[in-house]
Amino acid sequence: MPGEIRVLFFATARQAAGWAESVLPCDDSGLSVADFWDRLQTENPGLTPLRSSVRLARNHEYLTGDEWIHPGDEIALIPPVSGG
Amino acid sequence: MEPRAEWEIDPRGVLDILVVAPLALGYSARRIGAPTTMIIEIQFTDRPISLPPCVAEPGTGAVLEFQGVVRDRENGGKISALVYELYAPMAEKVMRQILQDLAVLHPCLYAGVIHRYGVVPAGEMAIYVRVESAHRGAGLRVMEEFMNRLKSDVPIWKTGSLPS
Repeated sequence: MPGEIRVLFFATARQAAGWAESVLPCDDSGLSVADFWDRLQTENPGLTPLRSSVRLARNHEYLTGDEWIHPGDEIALIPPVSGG
Repeated sequence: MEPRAEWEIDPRGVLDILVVAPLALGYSARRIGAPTTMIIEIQFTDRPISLPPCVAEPGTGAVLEFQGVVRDRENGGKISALVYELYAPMAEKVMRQILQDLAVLHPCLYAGVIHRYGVVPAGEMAIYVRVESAHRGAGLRVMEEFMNRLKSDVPIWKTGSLPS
């Protein structure tokens, strides 16, 4: 949806947040990764201990720290994986 | 992936001898970014994994198969099952990219992955991987490296276990 970011929570991030999905309002200027985390922690203080270990993915690709998040993006919180 | 040809200097050895001058310097030149025709199939299921019929791609000389099975022990205690969660669209995308990247270095003919999610009982497969290659070297390398990278980058998680 325009004007918002869809946020997906997986594994320990979902357990810490208490839900699997939420939305964050976002204007056209977008958000830095740091700003995104700050807003997320404000709404979900339980995520604070995970910030250093959780990777972010934007539209199914891992985000680097200097990328920008835009309205309409799907952001996923990816805790350390353990497949296989 | 669009076919493209680029050239890099490989000091490790000769893969394709294409120009003489670099060889005089003690290097070989090899073509990278060669188009890969490896067939990739990725599936997710919450049902028991049934092994697909073994019909190898033409040109196959080696078939590698890996079964990742849920052990009946975790942290010293007995369990009856593990619970798996996945982020399916990204898991498929990342697996596919890993296999495509590996195929550039170790060309194979086919790679298939089936990963189960939900409750997977001890003794049953959580993952099945099949790699077909002309010769065993490429297949062995792809299999090992794919599993290593899956366990570091593919968004799939063991989120819990059920007691025995």
